[in-house]
Formats: sequence, structure tokens, C-alpha cells
Amino acid sequence: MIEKLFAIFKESTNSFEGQEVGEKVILLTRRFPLTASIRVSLILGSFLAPVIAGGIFYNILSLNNLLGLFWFAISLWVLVSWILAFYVLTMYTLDMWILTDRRIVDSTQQGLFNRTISELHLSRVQDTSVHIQGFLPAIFRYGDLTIQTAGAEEHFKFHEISHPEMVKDAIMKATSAHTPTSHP
Amino acid sequence: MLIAIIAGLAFLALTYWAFAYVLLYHLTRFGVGTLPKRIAAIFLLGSFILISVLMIALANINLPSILATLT
Repeated sequence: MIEKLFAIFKESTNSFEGQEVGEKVILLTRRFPLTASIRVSLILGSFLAPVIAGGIFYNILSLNNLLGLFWFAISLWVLVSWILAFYVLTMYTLDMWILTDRRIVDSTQQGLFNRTISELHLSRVQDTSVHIQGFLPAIFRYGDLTIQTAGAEEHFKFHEISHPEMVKDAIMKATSAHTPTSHP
Repeated sequence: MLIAIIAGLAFLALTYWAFAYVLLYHLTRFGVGTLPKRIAAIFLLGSFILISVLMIALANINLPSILATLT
């Protein structure tokens, strides 16, 4: 029973809103977590600010009987930092690219009430290119993946994804499998 | 004064839980894979713990002495 309850945190079919019947998810990718981690670390690091302030002004606070109020202010500060950190994490999590056996879905979350979903059918994929630029991207192997399309929108871009070469290979493999073989 | 403080705290609590609800809704409704569910669970658990800590801190405030100090 408990195992079943916790299974949702361990395994997933990666089903998504708008998924067609019989459509299989091949790959789910997000931005490399470094950028979100830096933001979250900065917010969580701000936990230290009231602790330092408390250390400096401890004598004044205790003399004026304000320690209770100070602990309340710290708790409030941590609570606000906590929700801000998870806001950043939510934005990171909901910004994703899904490769299925039929199409590529780009879901972009820019704020809580601003969501864009675009999709590209595999039959319209013409060419893919990987762009890794900079010291950190070269070390951690993350970068941009651009797909040239046959449609009106010329580019379809995956921004700062982990192992873009692997994703590129997966897209090309899916495209080859999807393209019907022409008979002479 | 006391009513204003209680109203302020109630407003803070409502704002927090409304924002928390929106975050949890987005994570569970639009999230794909296991990551959003894990994040939602950690966030909810942490929120309950932090709110409890906040309530304890609130209960330990000696309001009459603070008001006497400030006035």
C-alpha cells in the first residue's frame, strides 16, 4: 500500500496533457539544472542573513525583550524564502521538451500564468545542430540544440539542455523511424 | 491594535497558502515525470513544518511587553 503510494515519486510514464492515443514518450528533457540551482542556492543562502543580524544585535534584542519577535521575523523570512525557492523550481520543472514517436513538444513556462506550448511533427524535422559554448557548458556538457524545420517557423530550439548530442541522436533516430520509407 | 495584528497575520497566511496552492496546482497539473511530484511533496512538507515553527514563534511573542517597549 505504502509502496504504491510512493511509486508516483519513483516511476512515471511521462504522460502529458494533449498526448494522443498510442503516442509514446521517448525522451523528456529540461534545462541543465545549474542555472536553477544557482538561483535556489542564492535564495536559500538568504536564510543566513537574519541569523547574522541576530548574532550582531543579540544584546540589544534581549535587553529590549524583543527576542520572541525576532524569532518570529526569522521564521517569516525563511517561509518567504522557501516559497520563492520553490517558485524558481516550479518554473524550471515546467520548462521542458518532450520527444515522442510522433512529435516534439516544447512547453515553456514564463511566470505562473504565462505558458506556451509549441509542437513540431517529426516529419517536418530537416536538420539538427548542437551548440555548446562557454567554459561551464563544455565541462558539464550542456548546450543548445537547434532543429531546422520545413515549416513557416524555421527554428525549434532546445535551450541549455543536458547532453544535447544524445538528444540530437534520439531525435534523428525517432525521425528516421517515423519517416515512411519510399518505395520505387 | 490586537485586531489589526490578527488581521495582518490572517492576510499573510491566506496569501501564503493561496500562492502555495497555485504552485502545487501547476506542479501536479502540468508537471511531467516524477520530478514535479517530488518537488511538490517536499514543498508541501516543508511548508507545514515552517508554518508550525512560525506558529510556535508567534505563540512565544510577549506582545504586551513589546507594545510597552514600542510605545
